[in-house]
Amino acid sequence: MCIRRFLWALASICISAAPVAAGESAVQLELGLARTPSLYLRLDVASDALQIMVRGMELERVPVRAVRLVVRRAPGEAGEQLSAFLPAVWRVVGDPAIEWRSVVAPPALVPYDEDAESPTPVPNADREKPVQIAVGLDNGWQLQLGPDPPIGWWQRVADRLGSGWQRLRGKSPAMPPPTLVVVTEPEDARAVLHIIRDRTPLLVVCGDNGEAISETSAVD
Amino acid sequence: MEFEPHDVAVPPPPPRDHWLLWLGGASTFFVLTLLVLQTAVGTRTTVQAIDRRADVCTVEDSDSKADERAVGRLTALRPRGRYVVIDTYRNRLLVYDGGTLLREAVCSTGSGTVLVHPSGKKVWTFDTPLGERRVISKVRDPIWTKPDWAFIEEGFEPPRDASLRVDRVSLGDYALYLGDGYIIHGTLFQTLLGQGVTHGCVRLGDKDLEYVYQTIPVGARVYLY
Repeated sequence: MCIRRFLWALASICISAAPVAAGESAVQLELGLARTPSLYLRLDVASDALQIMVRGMELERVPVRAVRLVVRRAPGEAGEQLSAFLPAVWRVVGDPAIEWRSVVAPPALVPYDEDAESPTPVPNADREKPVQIAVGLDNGWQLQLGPDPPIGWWQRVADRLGSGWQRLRGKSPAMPPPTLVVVTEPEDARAVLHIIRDRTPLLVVCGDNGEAISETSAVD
Repeated sequence: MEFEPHDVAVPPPPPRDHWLLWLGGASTFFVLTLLVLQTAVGTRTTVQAIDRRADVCTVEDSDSKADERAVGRLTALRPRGRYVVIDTYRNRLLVYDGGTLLREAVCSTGSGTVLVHPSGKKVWTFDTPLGERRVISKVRDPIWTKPDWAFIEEGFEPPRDASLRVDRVSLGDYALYLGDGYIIHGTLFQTLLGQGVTHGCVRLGDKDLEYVYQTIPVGARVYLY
């Protein structure tokens, strides 16, 4: 009995602590996520959907208008293509919900009064969830979800002047992390944001069965 | 002696330091040129737009037999029979039988509010749990034993007398227990259905609750997202 328990515990540890092995296919990575009862997000960059999944079952399909990888590079630095990283499982770092939760904190407690009427519950007065969110991923990247970010010409010029000025002063300009931009409708972004917690896995694949995609690079 | 005014030669203005002006101008020009050069060759943003129509994706070498096995296992994980799906964002509960939708109901789920004990030592977050759960048990005419937060939220100290925690009305006529204190139950506040007002439980209207109670067996899976 003890040996069985030991083997069972060992197997559980191995399954839960197993790192994502290099070279695993998309379906094998997904199986690893689906073995747990937790939700996961599945982004297929070759299709037009971000799926909310559990146990390999799609719970909701969020229409995606575009997927982009935005990378800032220093001069001469080589860049990798998104497909070089796929398929992959990245996890959200931090709980974005902290930003808009309402907090109830009674200053003091009084002895319970049995005759006191319970108050009628009121809908939460949470701050409006943002239309566009950016959460950190455990590979150092960011996931940006929502409508197309309005980055204008002036913003780009200002960014460049800023980084040029930094270099002129002998400082290396702050490099924002690569950002995986998933363009969706605002309401869809909020729905996805609602279920994102710390450590929520994001499975990014490149077509169900190695379907083809390409990446075109554009430099602003 | 009379002082006679006469033309006094105005002294010429001191000669300008032209060389200083030139130096300043040249320095400014030099700095600006450097800035423009740094900006021109500097950090650039590269946008990789994914072109879904093209045909040159990197296809990894994968073990097709292992993939087939994985697909089989994934399929086996999916639910059979009757199960419940709860959308906590839109506050909707759906009852399925083998993938066929049987009923859609409006529900109320967690408010997401954070309750902090006056001491600051304890914090509760009123979220409905996410992911897969199972119906552990079903009860008719359930009784709710109010936990500490139910009193603290109203500014009361939790009573030591256990009988003061007993609530025979709040849960409605039926309850389906999902574990860790989370329950699908009825509500006294039917007008609030469709809104996130609960402490993590899932509230249903009377008729929908009766349907779910009669349709969903113990052990059935409940998927919350």
